[in-house]
Amino acid sequence: MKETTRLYSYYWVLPALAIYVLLFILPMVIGLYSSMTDWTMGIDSIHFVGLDNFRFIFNDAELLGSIGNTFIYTIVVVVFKNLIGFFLAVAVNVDMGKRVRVNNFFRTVFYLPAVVSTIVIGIVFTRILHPDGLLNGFLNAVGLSFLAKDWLIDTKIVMFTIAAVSIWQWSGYHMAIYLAGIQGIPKDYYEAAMIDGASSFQRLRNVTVPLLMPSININVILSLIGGLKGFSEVYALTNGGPGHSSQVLTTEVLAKFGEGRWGLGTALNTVLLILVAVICIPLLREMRRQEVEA
Amino acid sequence: MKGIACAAILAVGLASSIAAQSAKNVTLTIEGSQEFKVPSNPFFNQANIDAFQAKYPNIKVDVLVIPDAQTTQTLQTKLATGEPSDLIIYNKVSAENELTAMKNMVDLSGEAWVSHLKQPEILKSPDGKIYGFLLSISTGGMGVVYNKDIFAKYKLEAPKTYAEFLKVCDTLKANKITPLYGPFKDVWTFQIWPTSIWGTVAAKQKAGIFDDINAGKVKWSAVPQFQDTLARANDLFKKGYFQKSCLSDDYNGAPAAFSSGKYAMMLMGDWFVRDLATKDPSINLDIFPIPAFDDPALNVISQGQVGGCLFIPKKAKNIAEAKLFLDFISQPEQIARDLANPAMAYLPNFKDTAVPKLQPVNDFIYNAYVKTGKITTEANAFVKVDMNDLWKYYQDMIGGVKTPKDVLVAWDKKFAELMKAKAMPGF
Amino acid sequence: MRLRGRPLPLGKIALFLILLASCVVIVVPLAMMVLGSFKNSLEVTRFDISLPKKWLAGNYLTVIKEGKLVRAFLNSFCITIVSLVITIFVSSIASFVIARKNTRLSNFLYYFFFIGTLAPMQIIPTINIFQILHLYGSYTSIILIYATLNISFSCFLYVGFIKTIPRALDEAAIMEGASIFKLFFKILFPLLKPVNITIGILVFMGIWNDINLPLYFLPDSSKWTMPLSVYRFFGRYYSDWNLVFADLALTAVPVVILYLFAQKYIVSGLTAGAMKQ
Repeated sequence: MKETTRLYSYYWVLPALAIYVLLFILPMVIGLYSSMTDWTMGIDSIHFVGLDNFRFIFNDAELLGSIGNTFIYTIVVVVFKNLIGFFLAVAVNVDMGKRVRVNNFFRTVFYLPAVVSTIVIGIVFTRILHPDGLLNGFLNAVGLSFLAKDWLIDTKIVMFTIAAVSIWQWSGYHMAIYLAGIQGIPKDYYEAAMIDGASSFQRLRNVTVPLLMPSININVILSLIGGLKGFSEVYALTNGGPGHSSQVLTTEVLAKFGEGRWGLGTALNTVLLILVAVICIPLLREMRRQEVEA
Repeated sequence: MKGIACAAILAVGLASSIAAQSAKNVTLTIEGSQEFKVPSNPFFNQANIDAFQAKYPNIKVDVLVIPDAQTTQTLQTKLATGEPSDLIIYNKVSAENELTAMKNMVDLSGEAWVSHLKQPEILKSPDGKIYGFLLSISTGGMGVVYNKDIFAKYKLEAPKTYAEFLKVCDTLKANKITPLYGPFKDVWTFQIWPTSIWGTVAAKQKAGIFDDINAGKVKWSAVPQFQDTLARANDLFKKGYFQKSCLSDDYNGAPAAFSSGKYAMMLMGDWFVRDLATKDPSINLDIFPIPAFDDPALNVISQGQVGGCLFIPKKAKNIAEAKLFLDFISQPEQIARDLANPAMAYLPNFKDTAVPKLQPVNDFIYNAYVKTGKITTEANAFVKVDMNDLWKYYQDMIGGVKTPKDVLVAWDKKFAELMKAKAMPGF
Repeated sequence: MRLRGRPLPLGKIALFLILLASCVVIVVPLAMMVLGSFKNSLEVTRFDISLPKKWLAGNYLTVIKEGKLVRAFLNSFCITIVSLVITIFVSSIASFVIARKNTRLSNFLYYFFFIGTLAPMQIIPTINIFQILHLYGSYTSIILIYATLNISFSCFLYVGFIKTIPRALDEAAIMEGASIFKLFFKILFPLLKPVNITIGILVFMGIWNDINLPLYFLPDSSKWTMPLSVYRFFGRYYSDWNLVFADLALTAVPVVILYLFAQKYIVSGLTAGAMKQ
């Protein structure tokens, strides 16, 4: 044991570490510093202003609103992308007899939205979610008119609508990761469980889920980061509107940069980083612990 | 004597180094927003670029079309890092405010083409120098674009006052035609109303108002005319002259909407008339000034700031070649080729050029409004900061969340904040 | 297994129908794009799922020509592949050591790399660094950036996966006289196939679809990637959505092909999974 441990050398980490530190960590540290300056396009000199930008952020109702929206959006997408992704992965893995092509067909179709540019998503879903669009048309046709809404206009639901589009786009992507995990589970585990007389739900609970912990971790972390740093769906569907009702942190960052307020923009980015780190790192630690136990 | 010799040697050296530079292969980059990638823009026109490359075989022109929404950020980033493209397309006043043109761009006042300009003053920045290059004098403008056939069918005339406007809307509505198409999901569309009208307010009713606002002496919400303007627009919503889904509809849907014949009017500019003429020639559109005032004399066509100028950043790699490009496309024979192309024909701002055959809508605007002085410059041209937030507040007003007064009060706060960030005096 | 060849039970038929319904939900918006790409520029602005009155395949030719898509495709392909190879190489070897060493340092490195998945990128300082290195504007710069941005995520996946491969395997190989290089590249790396494929697809897709970084890092449009060509076809005042759709459909094709191709390998990764524990 000791013999081999000595064989693993940290030199192997160096290539990755070198480019990562030079091209990511270093700029990030410079960015952290900029977030404490009044750096703005066109001013003559840049001054250190301490925590002024952060004070500004936490006193600005619009920016606070964007933080709130970021949370709502994140919670919804994490829960549903994972539930749906997992369900799809299990479903497209169900033995359909000799009809393997059926499984492959579903796997491909569900993955398709992930490869499509958000520009398309924006223009297409703007029409589908239009008050006279396909979705409301469908709801009215099947007698569910009471569910028909102003999907992207009603400020109470706009964040959920955007989250739903994101779920539409990315569930298949998460399905693919779950699927890779499920297919990595050896068949004999299931056969043993079947001999023990386990029902298919029991097999799911006692074999699939525990052995799938690594995939679950990846998917939860990925969707969490995707939610907190989510940008393109919001940008393409409403760009924060109507008014400021669907602004999230990342769209505010773009807006601040667009106004040439780089100090404030980087400060918002720093807030985002702290927020993401505070949520994700403890979660990751906990999940790693579970993974070992599993 | 020695000095002169030195200078002569220096000059020869300089000239030969420029010559040497021009002789080596150079890629000249032109960068601009998607917004300017339109058929009528001569700077992106392939025929012009081909002709230039034919004359200067060592120069290759590379056009970078960047997304509207990220244009400011992209250009600012490249300027800040000292890596700008050789030529940048940007609106004149916006370049002064957002790209600090007077600091970052090469002063072009001494270029040969300046002496041929018919109206050099339109290109001058507040410091009296010229930084941006433009071929044309504007023959475009914003107002109410309307379907002539629908108007003819219901025997309507282009309204000249607000009262007449309401009457026209009523007639249309009674005949099951939606009077106005509102593409207000795009925030830049509704603002055509206030920016046009406030331009007239500044020109005719409250001289110097924007100087006072920019100096922090007057608040936006303290100008009664501004509130009235928004209140009148708000009335149009309340009376149901716009389609119900106007906050869900965007400008991309406008061609289909007008093509359907169900909509009669839209607050827009000449570009939509030209665009629809190519997409659906069966629809006849024209334009009239926004009739927001009771006094017909105040209702005029509004023009944007001088748009889409070419700038040469001081830190550009190929300044000499960039100047060559400007010089080249301002030559009479190049302009003549532009004007021969009906999709592009513009009114050149150069002496010794003929007035070309303009597109019908531009011909109309030019003869009926520009020549007779019935035009105004939109208010946006006087504002020193990005107005996107104000535009978002308009959406709140349309959605019934804010009153016209709330909009201006919220904007006062945001405006002060933006001016302060730019270290403007008075804030 | 026992069901093979027999008619499906009711539960599975129900499941099949649910999946089919989900397919409709997926396909309708995509159909709008694909059908739109064959329409003319007015018809497309209705943005519905009707069939084109006249199928205009010529839209695709226009897009390929005006968008300079051949060049853009080659750029995309080279940039993506090289970035991907660098990412996989440096992350897999780094993760191997991080996963196998069980020290505070290796634990620190794990979280240190993980920060990269969380933090937003700082564009201006990154440009400054490339300027100092005299790399700004080169293919190398964008390749390094893409590799850097994907190292974090890849290490995160690799470490998790390598930990599931028993260490006894390493020991056995070393006992039999294999060098550490042979152990990793000949024995372990092939076992990483499922995670290699997963990372391969995700990283490829992320780089391929990126519409942001070339704007800042490639000041010469002849080096631009495929998705950026779309800006030639729409803007605030004039848009040809039919061409936009055609352009974006073409951009998506390589990723779809890759996924179809990789899907086969995910299934054949089964044997590798059997090695676990």
